[in-house]
Formats: sequence, C-alpha cells, structure tokens
Amino acid sequence: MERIKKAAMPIISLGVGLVLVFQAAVTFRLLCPPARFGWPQLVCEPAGWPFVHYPMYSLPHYPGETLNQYSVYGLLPNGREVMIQPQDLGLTVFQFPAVVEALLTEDRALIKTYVTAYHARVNRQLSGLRLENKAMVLGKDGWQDGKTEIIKQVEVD
Amino acid sequence: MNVLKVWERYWFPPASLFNLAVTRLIVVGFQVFWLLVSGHHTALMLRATTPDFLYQPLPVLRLLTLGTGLRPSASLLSLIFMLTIVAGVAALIGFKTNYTLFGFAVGALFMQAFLYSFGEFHHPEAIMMIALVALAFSPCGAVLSVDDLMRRQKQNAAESQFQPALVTQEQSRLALWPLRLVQWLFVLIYLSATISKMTTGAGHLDWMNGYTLQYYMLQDGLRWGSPLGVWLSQSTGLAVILSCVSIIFELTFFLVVLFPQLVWFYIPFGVLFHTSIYLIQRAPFFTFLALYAVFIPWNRVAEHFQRSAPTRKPAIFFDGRCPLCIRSMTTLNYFDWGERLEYYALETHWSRLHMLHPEITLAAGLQEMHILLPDNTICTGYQAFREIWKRLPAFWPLVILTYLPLASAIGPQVYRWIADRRTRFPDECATGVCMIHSPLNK
Repeated sequence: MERIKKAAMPIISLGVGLVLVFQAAVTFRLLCPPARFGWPQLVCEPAGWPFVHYPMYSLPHYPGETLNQYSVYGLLPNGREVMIQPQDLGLTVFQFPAVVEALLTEDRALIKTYVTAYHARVNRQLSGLRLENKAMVLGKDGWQDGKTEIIKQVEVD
Repeated sequence: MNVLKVWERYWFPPASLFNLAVTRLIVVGFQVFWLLVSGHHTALMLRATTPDFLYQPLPVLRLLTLGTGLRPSASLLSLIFMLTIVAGVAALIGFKTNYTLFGFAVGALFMQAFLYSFGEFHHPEAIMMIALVALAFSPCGAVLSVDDLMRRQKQNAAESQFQPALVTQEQSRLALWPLRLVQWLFVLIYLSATISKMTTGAGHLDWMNGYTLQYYMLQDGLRWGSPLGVWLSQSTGLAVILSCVSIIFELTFFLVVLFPQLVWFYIPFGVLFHTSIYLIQRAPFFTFLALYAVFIPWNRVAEHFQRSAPTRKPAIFFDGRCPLCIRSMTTLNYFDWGERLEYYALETHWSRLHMLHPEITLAAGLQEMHILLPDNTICTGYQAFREIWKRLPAFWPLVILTYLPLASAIGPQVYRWIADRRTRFPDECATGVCMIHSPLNK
C-alpha cells in the first residue's frame, strides 16, 4: 500500500502543479492579457472554463452615471402589446441584453430570429418589438429617478 | 532535490483522513442537494430548446463528447442528470467511493459545461468542478464510508470479535493534497477578484469610491428583487466601508493558508461575506461556503467533543459471540466520533455488570443487549438502542422515528424478532476455528 502511495505521489504532484499553474496563469491574465497590452491572447474566457478569472463587478462607476433598466415589449397584430421575459425566448436574464442590443442596433435578422423563437415557445405571432428604458442617475446624494422613454420600435414582416 | 522534498513534505505529510472524508460529505452532499433544488434540470431542459445558433460548446464539453461537441438531446440530458444524482448519492454515502465520485464529477462537469455553452457563464461552480475531480482521485472514502464500514465489519467478523476503532485518528499521506489544492485555488480566486478590481478602469483605488458598489447594489437589487440591495445603494459612505472590507478580505485571504490558526476568523468572515453578497445582490456563491469545508480541522472539532464527553459514559454490554452483535457494535462505534460510549463483550466483562446489578443473569444479558447508563440504571433491547442513538448524532434521524406513534409498541417486537433469530459463534471459536450455526432459540 505504501508503495502504491509512493508511486501515486509524482502523478498527483503533476496534476496539482498543472491545476495551480493554469489557475495562476488565468488569475494574472497571462493567457489572455488585456488587448491594450498588445500581447498574444492564447486562451480567453470561457475557453479555459472551469479555470476562469474573477472580474465580476470590477468596473468602477462614478457620480453622474446612468443605470438603464430596459424592457422589451412585443407588439401583437391586434394592436395590443405584451412584455417579453427572457424565458419566453428560451434565454436567461444574462442573455437578454443580446435582445436589447439587437433592438438598439436594429439588427433585423436577429430580431426576426427572436420573434420566431417567441412564436415557437409562446405560440403568439408578433408584428414588432419595442424597447423602453427607465434610466436612474447616480448622484452625490444617492439615486435620482429618470423617466421612462421609448428607445426603439421595430416592425417585422 | 531539496525542493522536491519540501514539495513532498508540504503536499503529502501524514494527515487526517477524517478531515478529507468530512469534506467529501459536505461538498458532495451540497452538490447533490444543489443539483436537485436549484432548478438544474429545468435549466438543462430550457437550454435543450435554446436556438441552435447560440450553441457554442466549451472546449471541456468538446473533450467530454470525444471531440465532437455534439449537442445532447433533452432526453439524454435527463438521463445524464439522473445518473449523476445516483452517482452523487453513492459517493456521498461512500459506496465504491472513487468510482462513483469520479462519475459524479464528470456528470456535474458535463452538465455545467453544457449550460455554459450558450455564450454565458458564471463563476460559482468552477472551483466546485475542480474540487470534485480532485476528491475523486483522493482517498476521501477511506473513512466515513460504506466501503470502510463494510471492510471493518468483515474484519471484525473474520476475527470473531469486536475491535473498537476511532476513525477520527486515521491518517494517510494522500489525505491532505486535495484540501490544500482547493485552499490555494481559493487564494488565487480571491486574488483574481482583487486584481480585477484594482486594475480595471482609470484609477487603482476608484473601485472603493463607494459609487461603484452603490451602482452594483442597485443594479442587482432591481434585477433580482432585493429590497436590501436597493436600500443600501442609497448610502455612499456605507458603500465605501463595504468596498474596503471586501478588498482587504480578498487580498489577505492567503494568510489563512499560511497560518491555519486564522481559520476561525477568515472562514466565519467569509461565510458572512458571501451571505451578505447573496442577501444584497443575490449572487449565489453557496458553493464557496460548502467548499470552505477544506479549511476546517474536523478531527480537532471531533477531539473537542471527545474532551467534553462526560467521564462516566454509558456502557454497552453485548453478546461478544454473536456476529450480528459484532456488526452492530462495529457500526455504532464507527459513528461514535466523540467517544461517547464504552463497549463490553459480556463474555469477558460480565463481572462489571453483575457487580452493579446482581439481579441480571448472564443468560438474560445474552438474551438482549444491555446498556448501563451513567446513573447506574439499565436499559435493555429496543430501549437500549434508543439511548445509544440519542448519543450519536449520525443516528438522530432514527431517534425521531422511535418517537412516532406505535414505535414503542412495534420497536421492541422487531428487536425481539431479530434477537431471537441471530446466530452465535460455536465454542470452538475460542480456539480460532469459527463457524456460524444454530439460532439461539434452537
């Protein structure tokens, strides 16, 4: 038994070493340095998952910044409208900004794909999508409520 | 040469198997529970119907699908989910531990990689996946497992006598490396988070300006419905304090690995840290809380309970020539981590019981198990088991069963039925030749 353990140690050591070196390389962004450095990006996220770096919530924010709260509405042929939730399109909350982006950039092909996905999942035909935003402004005395605005309205065939 | 020796001394010193096994119980138990209650299967089914153009299999998923990256169907995902849960439960109880834990780790890795193959991934599960694979290659089932309990029962049965053992003191040179590996991964992860906060944006200390945390607290508070986050996001001063505390905690976390005595500060603080983040921002880093198990010296916790055990312990008097009794004592002793009980075979310790209770005959003692409580009162049979279970936390769920209606009526009958049908070693056993034969009442 002791001999088996002795034999296992070098193999385990190799595994431990590789795991730590890879995680350290990811931690210090050696495999995917920020683009501004101009260094080669060998393995960028999420390609190395489960070895990832942890940049969540790292972007600093300053007074005067706006927090956008987007809502997407589907326009029905009868003139009514319905609020679209991420799960209606088979998406998660984190994927939903792609829909907002498609509307902001008026990417009609992508919008059409989402409308088709909505029809397939909810069995409702949409004639268009509307993007609304209720912005809040970060001030020195806390948050200031903004007003709701219609940002985009895109009709689909 | 010296470096290799230092490496070997650091990663492979004789270390507690109990610590590793408790970590397995907590980590695997958590992951099985989390897979079942966190809507994991629902998420898999949602992903199964997500449009194809969003599917970008991660390299690890390509590897697990033998380089094909083929998108699994909903029914295959359901099957993998079920098999993973089965493997997880087996690994939790320690049945064929290394094999089942490896299956569980691969299944969990496959499902998580699939969920993250649609252009979105999150961080809490990554370290859990690495930890599960590491545990699968360790002797984490060497104690506190069905495998080990069966081995001990076989050994005691083969020797025809009960040999008490204390699992908290078992050691192996392969018991520490998985724990240390996860500890250092935690250090690197927290360091990664700090470096990101200090290097993103214009100024290195801007992250601690208060506005940053205010922004994230409101963003997540509104997105996930946390009134606490929305409320706290109004105060810049409080946000500055919380930001500084976060940075200090993450930046200095490596100290707990270098100075393990700091565990009683850093780990409770880490629990508070991640719980607060969840309550304020709904960021579910529960996996981190489960994996904090790698820092806790569980054997010392058990030793603390051993020290705090009363000097006069309940003494069990059992039939030392009955295989079923030997198996029962082996099982009870296996879970007696706090050394709360004493075990005496009647054949060799009859006088001890007889001295205090001359009214009890040896025949009566052999008829059913007796337990001598610290106040010198005696419990027998079913009642004795109830008294024993009360003292061993692992058996507390059974104690609840004994208080159910009719349990007091049915329990003694079940005990009597089993006791009457147990076998005994023949007398020749004393000479080393053991055969199991006739039930007591024949």
